[in-house]
Amino acid sequence: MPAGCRRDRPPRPRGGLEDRNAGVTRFVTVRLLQAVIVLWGVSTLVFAIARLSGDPVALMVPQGTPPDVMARMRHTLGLDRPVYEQYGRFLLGLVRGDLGTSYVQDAPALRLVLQRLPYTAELGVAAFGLALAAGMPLGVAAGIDRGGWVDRIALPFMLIGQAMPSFWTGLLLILVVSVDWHLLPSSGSGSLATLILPAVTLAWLSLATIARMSRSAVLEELDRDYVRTARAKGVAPRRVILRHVLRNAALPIITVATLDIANLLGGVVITESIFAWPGIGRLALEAIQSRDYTVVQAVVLVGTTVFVLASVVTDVLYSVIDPRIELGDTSA
Amino acid sequence: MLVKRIALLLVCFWLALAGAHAGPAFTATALTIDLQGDPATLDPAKQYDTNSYDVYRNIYDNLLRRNPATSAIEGEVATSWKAVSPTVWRFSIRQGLMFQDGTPLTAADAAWSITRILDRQFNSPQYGNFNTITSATATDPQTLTIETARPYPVLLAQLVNLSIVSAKYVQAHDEPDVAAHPMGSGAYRLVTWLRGDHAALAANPRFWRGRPRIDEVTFRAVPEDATRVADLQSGRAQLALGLTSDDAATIKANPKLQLLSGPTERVAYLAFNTLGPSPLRDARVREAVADAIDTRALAQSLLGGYARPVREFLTSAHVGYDKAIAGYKYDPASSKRLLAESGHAGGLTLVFTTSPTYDQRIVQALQGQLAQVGINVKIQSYDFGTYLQKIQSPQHDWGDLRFGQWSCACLDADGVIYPLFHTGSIWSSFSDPAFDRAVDAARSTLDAATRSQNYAAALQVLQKDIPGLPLWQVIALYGADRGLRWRPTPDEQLFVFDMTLGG
Repeated sequence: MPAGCRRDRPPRPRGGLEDRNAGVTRFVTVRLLQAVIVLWGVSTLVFAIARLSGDPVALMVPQGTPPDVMARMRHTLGLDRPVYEQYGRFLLGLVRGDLGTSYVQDAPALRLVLQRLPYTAELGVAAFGLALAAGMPLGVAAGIDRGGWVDRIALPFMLIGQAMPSFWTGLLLILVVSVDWHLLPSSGSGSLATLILPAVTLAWLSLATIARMSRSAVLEELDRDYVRTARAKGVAPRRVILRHVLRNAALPIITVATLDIANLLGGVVITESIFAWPGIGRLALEAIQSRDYTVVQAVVLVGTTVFVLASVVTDVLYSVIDPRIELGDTSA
Repeated sequence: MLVKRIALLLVCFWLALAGAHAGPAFTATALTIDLQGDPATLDPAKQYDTNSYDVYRNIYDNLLRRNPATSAIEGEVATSWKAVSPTVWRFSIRQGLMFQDGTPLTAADAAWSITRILDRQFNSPQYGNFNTITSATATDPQTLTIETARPYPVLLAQLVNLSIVSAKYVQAHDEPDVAAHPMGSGAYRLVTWLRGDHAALAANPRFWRGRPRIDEVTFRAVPEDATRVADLQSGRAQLALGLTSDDAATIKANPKLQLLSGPTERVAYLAFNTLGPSPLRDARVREAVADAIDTRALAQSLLGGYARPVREFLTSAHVGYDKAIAGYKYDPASSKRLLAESGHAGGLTLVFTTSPTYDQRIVQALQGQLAQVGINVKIQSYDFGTYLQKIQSPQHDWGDLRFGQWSCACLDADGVIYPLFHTGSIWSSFSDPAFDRAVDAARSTLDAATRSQNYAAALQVLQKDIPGLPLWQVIALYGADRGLRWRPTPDEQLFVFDMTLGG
């Protein structure tokens, strides 16, 4: 039997690929059901907070509008009904997939959000990919060559990104790269060139976290017995890292990366405003400022769905990467 | 070998000719304008925000317009008009106007544009501007007749903001379609609208005033001020709106850019709570506050001179403006004396209610100036929705003073001092029967002389009782490419037809 990581594994109570697949399917189903409950809870919370925050009609009309006109508008929008009636209608709509009509833009709220979701997805995926592609190798290199130039210089440089607020980083990048050097467009969307600056701004926040996590995960693994054994056996250093260390270090890195998706969803609001990127972060900000309840609810629901799905995917990914992990209930 | 060479040469020659015959190189003039936000909708009756207006104003024609230089009301879709009785108006509709789908624009379309706003089920935010109109009908294809509930002197000013939609088109399409695919008769038609990103318009060659000089215009939504400036500097946009006096220096220092400025009808003011539990119930304290504010210094130092101090709540372009109103002089000694007289010699604390929507440097500067005379100001800031709720509460318990900027988009005193100070108005924390009588009389007659007299009387009440302090007329700042020829108008209408973009 090959020496190394597998020795740590306890005897498996079950065997066979079929059983594993069934376990995964059951796990995913249970998690999706839980997700529905989470969505209901989140939507109720947003519903309550939105309605506590103020009157949208006052923000929609010209300054001199008399109060009886405003009262009539509230009535047409259904805002003068008792709260429980509004909530009931909201829940009914949720079930049917109808999240109401935007007060400001006079279009279905869900459609508005889904129209702009691909832009945020594009930005988010680019930033996430960039953070992983730059952060992980950097962190791993720093961990392997502890005290070396990567550890001493490159990593602290990445940490600066975490310390600087993203609106400052973004404006700085626009000023230097776009206005002074004329290399990239200063705002907007539509081409790969416009994606670079906002993706870098957004990625810089996550880069440091991923790099640091990679570094500490690698450092921890390098101390383990199996690594010493592999080295003693004469396995090439590169193979030790790639085949053995990374597979074990991957778990904490994935955890941190998934949690970072929530950070990305939050950071995207500021980045989209700076770069005039037409995503749902900016839509949420504008909807909150204009008390567009339906759009705020729609954005929160869509964002929560994305995050919940991401965490389900991550959990399944754990079991793929590490066969020791059994998903869900292990009792027969 | 030779044959092959000749054949190759012939092919190249033919290709070159074909390329040359592709036609003369045509460069369309394209203009990119950075707005502060995305249009909410392109249906003129369904919104009341500047971003939407800036875009659809170029797609639709309005019934009337204002002369860009004098702000006098002129015809656009209507050529002439007459009040045949105090409550009945007749408008002649211009001949030969066409919507962009080729159908003719007639009085029926104008009538329908008004009627749909008045439909309460339609829920138009502009309802309050037109609700004095009881009916709008096309008495013949070129004549529009409007009846009002009472004599309405501000009717023409409100009709300057009325865009004419195609009755047939609106009735044939459902509402989201009308909002997303506007059918107007204006200088430009909508090509694409990517919500949140940009709206692209192309020139309408059959526009009744002639072919627009700029072929394509793109309105981009850029919420961040610094990014709009960066767009100008990098050449991504040729015109940017909503710049502040801080950006003025950057724009002026750049040889490729120019700073355009124009006085607007917006007036910045301080309002006092004279009805609630506030020290400002005492008129002497209000006068003390008025004397303590150095408007000129604020305009010069904070706003870089891009603000014109005013002596009353109206600008000289407003109907009802009275140049005899004295205003208030900066006199801190008088202020201290008045405070002592009213029993506040030991100092006074006032609550300044505000919102981040307003320039907080101004709020803090006012706080500083009042501190010089012994008035301690506590600033309480709320987000805009909550702020409105507080100050509009009939309990008048919102605090002591607030800063605001008022514009009615009508250039008429009826749209300014009536909502700000009439008893019972949601914006008013002031009540004076003489003032109420004067402004009520001024809005119930079409006779200009009577209105003038009444507004003079009303403004005198405001001068004496000081329910608020008028500060300055706001000057709007725009950044533009040096090749752009355009003069900003006081009504802040972004009419691309009036612009040219040189080399």
